[in-house]
Amino acid sequence: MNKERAEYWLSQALDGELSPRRQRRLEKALAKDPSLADLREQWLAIGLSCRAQTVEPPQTPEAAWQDVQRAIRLSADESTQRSPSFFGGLWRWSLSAAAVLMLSVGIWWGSRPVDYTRAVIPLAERTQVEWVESDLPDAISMVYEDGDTGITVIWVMMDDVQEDNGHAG
Amino acid sequence: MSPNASNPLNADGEAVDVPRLVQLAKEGNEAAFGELMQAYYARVYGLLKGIVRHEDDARDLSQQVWVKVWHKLDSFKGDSDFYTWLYRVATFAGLDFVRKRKRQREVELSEAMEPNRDADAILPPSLTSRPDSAAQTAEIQTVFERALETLSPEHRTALMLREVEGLSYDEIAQVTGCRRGTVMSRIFYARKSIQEQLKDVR
Repeated sequence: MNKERAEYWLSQALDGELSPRRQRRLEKALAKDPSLADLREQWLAIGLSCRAQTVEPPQTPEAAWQDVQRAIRLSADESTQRSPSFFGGLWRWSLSAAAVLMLSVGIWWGSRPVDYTRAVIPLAERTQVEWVESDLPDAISMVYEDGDTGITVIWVMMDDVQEDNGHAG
Repeated sequence: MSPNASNPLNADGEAVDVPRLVQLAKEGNEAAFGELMQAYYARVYGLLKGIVRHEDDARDLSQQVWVKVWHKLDSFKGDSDFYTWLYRVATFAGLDFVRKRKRQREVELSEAMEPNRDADAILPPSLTSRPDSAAQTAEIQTVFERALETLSPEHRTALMLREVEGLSYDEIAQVTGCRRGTVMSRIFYARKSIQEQLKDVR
């Protein structure tokens, strides 16, 4: 058995956590290796020193309990202060509900689809196109309102185009 | 029945019926909780002092832990022994405190804790039987305390839970929330580390 494993097992053996089979192998190693036996003594001493560390608490349990009891009651009082009374709670609840309602209305208002023809055009003064001037030579213009859509259509026509259109029409 | 974490004694030296007191305390019985608290007070204080290494801090923290235990008692379902749950609350509070504190490890030992007057009586003969044993023992004790200081809080906690509280590896794993193998190696490392530091004074 190598030394590292023996030491690892020794630690477990001191804690009563080593299996009987390994315990027997460790015992053999301890018998053979005095340094391992010495290590066991040192680790046992460390355990005793740890236990020697435990000192009496600064208070008696009764005095400590009184302090804890006081702290528990204080924390309960603070918790009561933090939790509002019925009317205080109702007031806060109402305020919260109103805030939520206002927020919801705001979100609904902002997110609803905007009908620009209804929302913007009625506000603007309707433009009446009576005539169109063009720099194109010999061009004539025609303005009319499309019956289906209500959109004002402006035609600018040249003589030859007019003839073509005339043919087409 | 010898007193240990699972069988604490009350002030009159009588065994405390922990499950009954826990049940009563969960129902809001403050007196039952008081009895429970007093039965475990010294152990929780000792554990916290082992972790935080400072008497006043351990005292304050101990009080906070018991207040927390009172408020959190409903979350104890009884799947494990009460003391493992209690030590878990205390251990986490202690480790959390140490992490937050981030105090220098080289705290003046005289400030950190009272020197142990009974060291001679408690240290094993191998450490006290030399002719100059009084000075030697004091030195060993000082080096030992320093060695404990140099351990990480996690290693120190594992060692204290094992050596002082006598918890098994499985119980320490439950308390500290880590695996059994981790507990095993932490204790092994802690012993090795302390032993290395004590080597020079022997």
